[in-house]
Amino acid sequence: MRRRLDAAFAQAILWTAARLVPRCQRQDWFAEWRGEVFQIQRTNRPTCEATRFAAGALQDAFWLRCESISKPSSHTSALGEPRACLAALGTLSAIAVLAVLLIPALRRQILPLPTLEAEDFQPLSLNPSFRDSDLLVAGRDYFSWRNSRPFTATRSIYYQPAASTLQIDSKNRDLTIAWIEDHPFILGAEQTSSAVQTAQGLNVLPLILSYGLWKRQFYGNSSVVGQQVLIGSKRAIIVAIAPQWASELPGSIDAWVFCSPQKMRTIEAQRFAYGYILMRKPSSLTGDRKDGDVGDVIVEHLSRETVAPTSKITLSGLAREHHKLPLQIFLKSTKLAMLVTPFLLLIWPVSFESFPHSRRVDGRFIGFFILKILLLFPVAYCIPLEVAELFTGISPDATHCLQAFLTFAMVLISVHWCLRDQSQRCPNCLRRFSHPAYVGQSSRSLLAWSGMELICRNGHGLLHVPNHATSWFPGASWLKLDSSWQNLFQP
Amino acid sequence: MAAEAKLSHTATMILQAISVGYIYGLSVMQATGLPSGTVYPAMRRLERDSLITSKWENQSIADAEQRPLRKYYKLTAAGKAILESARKRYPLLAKIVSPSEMERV
Repeated sequence: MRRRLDAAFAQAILWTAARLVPRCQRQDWFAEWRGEVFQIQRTNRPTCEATRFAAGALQDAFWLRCESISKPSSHTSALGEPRACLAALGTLSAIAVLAVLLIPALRRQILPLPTLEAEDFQPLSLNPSFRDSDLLVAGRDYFSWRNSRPFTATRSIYYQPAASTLQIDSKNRDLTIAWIEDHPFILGAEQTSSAVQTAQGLNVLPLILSYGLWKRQFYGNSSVVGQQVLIGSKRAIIVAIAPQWASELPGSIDAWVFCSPQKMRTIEAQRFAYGYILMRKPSSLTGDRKDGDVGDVIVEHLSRETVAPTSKITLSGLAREHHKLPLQIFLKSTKLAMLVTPFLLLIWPVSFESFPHSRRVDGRFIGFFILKILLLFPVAYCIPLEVAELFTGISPDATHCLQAFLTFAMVLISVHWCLRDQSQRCPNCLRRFSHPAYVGQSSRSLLAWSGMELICRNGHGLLHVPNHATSWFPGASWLKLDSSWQNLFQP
Repeated sequence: MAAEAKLSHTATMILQAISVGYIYGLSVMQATGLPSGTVYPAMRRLERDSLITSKWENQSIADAEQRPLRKYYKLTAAGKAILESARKRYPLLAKIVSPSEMERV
C-alpha cells in the first residue's frame, strides 16, 4: 500500500513539474524522469524513495523554465508569438499612459475636462443684513474670516475689481479688471494652469479675458490666447477666456488677472479696498464628503445671492482649444506621418508578398495589424508629451514643435515597424517566420534561385525572399504547404 | 577556458561519474551521492555547454528488459579535456567516484 502511495506521489510530482518544463522539451523530459522513477520502484528501495527522488524533478523543471525565459530561442524573438507581441505592445502602451497620468500637468491634458457650471459658484457676503454693497468685503476682513475657517480655503475665492488701462495693439482701453487669487478652480483656469505657470515663470501677469470683452474687442478670435498685452505698465499674457457665465459675477469684470504673491500680500493687508467673495458649492466638489457637509452649513448661512445660471457654457471655447492642443498636434503629426509613409517605404522597403490573399485569413491578419497600430498610437501620443514636458520652461512654441516632431517620428517608425513585422508573419497562425536559411549562390542565378528562405514553425508554409528578381522568384514569395506537411513540424 | 573556470566541484564529480561509466541520471546520483535536484540540472547545464551529450537507448533494449526508455549521457571531447584539467585540481576525485563503485548497467 505504501509503495503504491509512494508511486502515486512520485507520478503526481512529475506531472506537476512537467507543467513547468517548456512545451518543446516536455515529452523528452517526462520520459527521462519516468524511466528513472520506474527504475527506483523496481529495485525494492525504501518507501518514499521514489517521492524523494521525484522531488528533484521540480528543481530540474524550474531550471529548464528559467533557462527558456532567460534565453529565448535564437530563431524567434519574444515578439514572435502574436499574443506575446500584443501583450508587449499593450504593456508598453499602459506604461506610457500611466506615466502621463502621473504628471499632473499632462494629466489635465489627456483627461476629460471637468465641467463647472455657473450654479457651482455663489457670491457671498459676510454681512448678514444683505444689500448690494454688502457683497463688497475688505481684503483684510476676508482673509481673517477665511483663516478662521480653514476648510473654506479650497472653496472660496476673493477678487478685487480695479479700474485699469489695457493696451492692445497700441490702443488703450479703460476697463475693469479684477485681481484674483491664483486658485485652481476658478474660471476654467484649472485647464490652463500650465499656461498660467509659464506666464508667472516669465514674470508676466496671466490674464483671463471676460467672454464679453473677447467677443467685443477680439471678435471671438481664437488666436488671442498667448498674445501679450499691457495692463497699465505691466506686461500680461492672455492665458484663457472666462466662461460666459462669469460675466454675471458681481463687479462687471472685463478681465481677470492672477495676483502675484506680492500683490496678494498687499490685498491681504488692505482695510479699505473692497472685493467680492465667490464660493464654490460643495456639490461641485468631488471626493470630499466630510468637508462638504461643513461647507453646506456655511453656504446656507452666508450666501445671499446665487449667480443666475443664464449660460451653461462651462468653459470658454478657447480654454477647450488650449486643452485640446496636444491632441491636435498629435492628429496633425499622425496625418503627416501617414502621408510620408509611402515615401519611406520606397527608401526602406517592406515586402508585401507574404500578405494573404484568401478572404478567410484576411480579417484576422489585418485585424492583428490594426490592433498593433492601435496599441502603438497611445505610445506615440504619450511619450512625445512626456519628453516635451521636460522642455516647458523654454517656450510653449518650442514644446509644441518638439511634441510635433517626436510624434511624427514615432508614428512613422511605428507604422513602418508594424508593416515590416506583419510582412514577416505567417498569414495562417500570425507567428513570425523563423529558421532563416540562405539558399543558393548569386553567381548561379541561371541554374537556381538564391536568397533567404524562412519557415513557419507550424508548417504552414515557406517564405522565399530572393536576393534579386529572377525568373525563379520575381519578388518575395509565400509558398503555402498543405496539411500533409504538418507531421514534419510536430514539436 | 571559460567553461573550465565555471566548472564547479559538483559538475566535476558528475563529469567524472559519467567518464567512468555511470551513464544515466540515477546511476550518477548513486555514484556521487548527490540528490536528484542537483544532478539533473547540473547535467542539463553540462549538456548546454557541450561537455556531455545525451542519447536515447534503443527501444529494443528497453523492451527486452521490460522498462521505459533510458537516456544515456557521454562525455564530448571538450568534456574530456576539461575533466582532465579538473582532475589535476581535484586529485581525490578519482577516489570519490571510481570505476570500482560502478554498478552494472
